[in-house]
Amino acid sequence: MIAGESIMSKDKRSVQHIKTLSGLLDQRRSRTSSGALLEMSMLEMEKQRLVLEVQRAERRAGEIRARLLEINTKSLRLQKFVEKVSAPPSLSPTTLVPGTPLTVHTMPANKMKSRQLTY
Amino acid sequence: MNQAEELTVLTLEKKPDFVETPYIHGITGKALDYIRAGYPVHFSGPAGTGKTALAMHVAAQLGRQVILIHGDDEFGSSDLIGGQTGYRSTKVIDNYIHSVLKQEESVSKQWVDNRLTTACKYGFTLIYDEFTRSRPEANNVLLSILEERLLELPDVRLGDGYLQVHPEFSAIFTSNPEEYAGVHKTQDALMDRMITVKLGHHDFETEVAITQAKSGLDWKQAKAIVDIVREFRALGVNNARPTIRACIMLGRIVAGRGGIVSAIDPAFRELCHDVLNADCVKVTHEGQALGLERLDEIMMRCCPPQSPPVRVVSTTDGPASPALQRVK
Repeated sequence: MIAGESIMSKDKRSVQHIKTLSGLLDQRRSRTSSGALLEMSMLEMEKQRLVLEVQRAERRAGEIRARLLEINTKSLRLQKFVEKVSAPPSLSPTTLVPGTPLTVHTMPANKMKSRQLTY
Repeated sequence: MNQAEELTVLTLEKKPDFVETPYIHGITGKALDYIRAGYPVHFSGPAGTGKTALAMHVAAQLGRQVILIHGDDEFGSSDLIGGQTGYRSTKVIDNYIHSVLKQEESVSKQWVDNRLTTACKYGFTLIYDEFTRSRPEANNVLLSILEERLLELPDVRLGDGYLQVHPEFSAIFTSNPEEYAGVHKTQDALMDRMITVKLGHHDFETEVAITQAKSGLDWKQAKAIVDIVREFRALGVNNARPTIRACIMLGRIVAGRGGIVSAIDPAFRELCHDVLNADCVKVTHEGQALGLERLDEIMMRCCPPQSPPVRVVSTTDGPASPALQRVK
């Protein structure tokens, strides 16, 4: 650590920062055919790993989208339930009870704005 | 959910220059009889026949507050009865015991009544102007209102879902003929529920009285203008234009600039050419439009040069027309 440098200013360390022997490469190996073949093999393995990773991510994204749809459907159902919770319990279709007449409303005089229009 | 307080109702008041001739009295009395018997009235006729003014006049006679709606192609049922325009959210946080936190949150949709619902609920008079400019399916909701006196509201609305129409509710409709641009056909079921009063152009004395009252010209000048317009209107096959609006335009402009109503006055001739829009009368001879020539002839007949040109004095307390005198 350089003197005076804060610890907090350092980059976050992660697995990628751990140095192992596999990271020590001979920069001259691709100059030989055997070295090139070795490097090709390594690249192919890395490519396979990355392709698998992409497939996993796509599968996960599909799962998330399906779950979001489920959440929306359930929200709508719950919404309807909340709105109807104050409704009276339903009777069987054969039950015929005398109904009360529908309400005739009276104008709330203090809440209505009235404007004059001349014609 | 009642949001009626956000709506504005109208109280109608007639202007001092509103003209009531026997013709207007006759139609108004007829319409009031129909409405008091419980039937909606529909004024139908070409532009410039005074449908909207008559509807307002009839509504004013009923003595109830008025809700005014203008038909529009973009209208849907929710524009008439109301709809969900937002959400109401309530949240209760109970932390009475410090170690226990209880939260309850509920969200419900917010219903807002629109003008038709308000009119039905509180018994206002509805004027649905140019209702055929709305698509027929938007007006379907009127069918049960006019017949069963019941307004059916969507399930999502809190409450009964049915609204009993107030006994004092009445409706007045106006419309143009179907051949007009932007006018839809109306379902027979709706037309069957209302009494349609066909309106044509006003009679002569009413047109003179209106022109006189709106412009401030004296009766003789107003009569000359109406003579020109009526004779020009009778030409050709389309007898809908020019309307009373052209009479009022001519009268107001002449009065405003202190001009004279005379065929020898170039300014008046030019004004007539502009306002009466000679193209609206398809009179042709060997492919040549004769509208302007015929208009000049009419002007020479209705206000001939031998009569001394009268300098117009704009006044509202001039001699009243015979029609007005009769009403008074």
